[in-house]
Amino acid sequence: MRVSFDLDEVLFVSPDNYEVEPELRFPLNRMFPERLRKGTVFLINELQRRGFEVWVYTSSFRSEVYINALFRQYNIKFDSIVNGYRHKKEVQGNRSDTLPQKMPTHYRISLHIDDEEAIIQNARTWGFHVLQVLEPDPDWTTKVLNEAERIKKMEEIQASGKH
Amino acid sequence: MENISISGDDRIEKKLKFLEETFIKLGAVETEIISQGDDSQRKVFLKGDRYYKAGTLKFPDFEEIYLVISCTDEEKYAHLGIMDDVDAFAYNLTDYELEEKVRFAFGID
Repeated sequence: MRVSFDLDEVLFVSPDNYEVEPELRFPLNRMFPERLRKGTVFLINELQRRGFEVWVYTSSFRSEVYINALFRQYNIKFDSIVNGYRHKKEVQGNRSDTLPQKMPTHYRISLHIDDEEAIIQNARTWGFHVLQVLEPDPDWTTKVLNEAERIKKMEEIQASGKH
Repeated sequence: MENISISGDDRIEKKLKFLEETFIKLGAVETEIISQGDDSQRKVFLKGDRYYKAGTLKFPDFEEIYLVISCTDEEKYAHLGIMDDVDAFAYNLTDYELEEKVRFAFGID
């Protein structure tokens, strides 16, 4: 099962308002100024250890190379990355009607983690699962893990019902 | 931060050459592309669907020059020298440590 994360305000947060992972050593901290929400490294490793595929799904236009390089400094390897360019090419394509800024179902992503209210609204309209992560929350990793397990169980029940 | 030309510095040039040789040793192929960035012009190497080059970085408030490995998955950006820096490190690392850096940049664990 696939779980995806938004970047800005979800995995990337301001150290002024949030607890964050340790800063990278110089000069990497200049090359990669984004700070990771505390718990990110544990959470992604734990999801992958439990057998979930972990993706990034961001509207930002940071390159896949940049995102991979940044997270590899924390020993994190994503299974795939969808940035603004990829979404535009693969999801929006040449369609005349404008699709939502994120469509996790296009990539068979079962759970997406995001902060934006618009994504929550789109989830209802377009039928995908989103967990909203907003303020600093010491329990956010537990909430994500629990929701991923819940959706996984739900999908297993649905799959067994089909047979 | 700024990329600087260090062509006169033999020690650093030797390290950059070593990095480029290590690119090939680890499976990259040399392309015809010479990166046209603001760094000294350097050869670009292709491994899989990604383009790599070695270069140098200097930060305005630091004396030390760093070696940097840059990468892009777009050929047009490789020509233009618009590549993301994926790792940077001191130039006085040993050959073994430099090879480890290339392995890391290539995603070889």
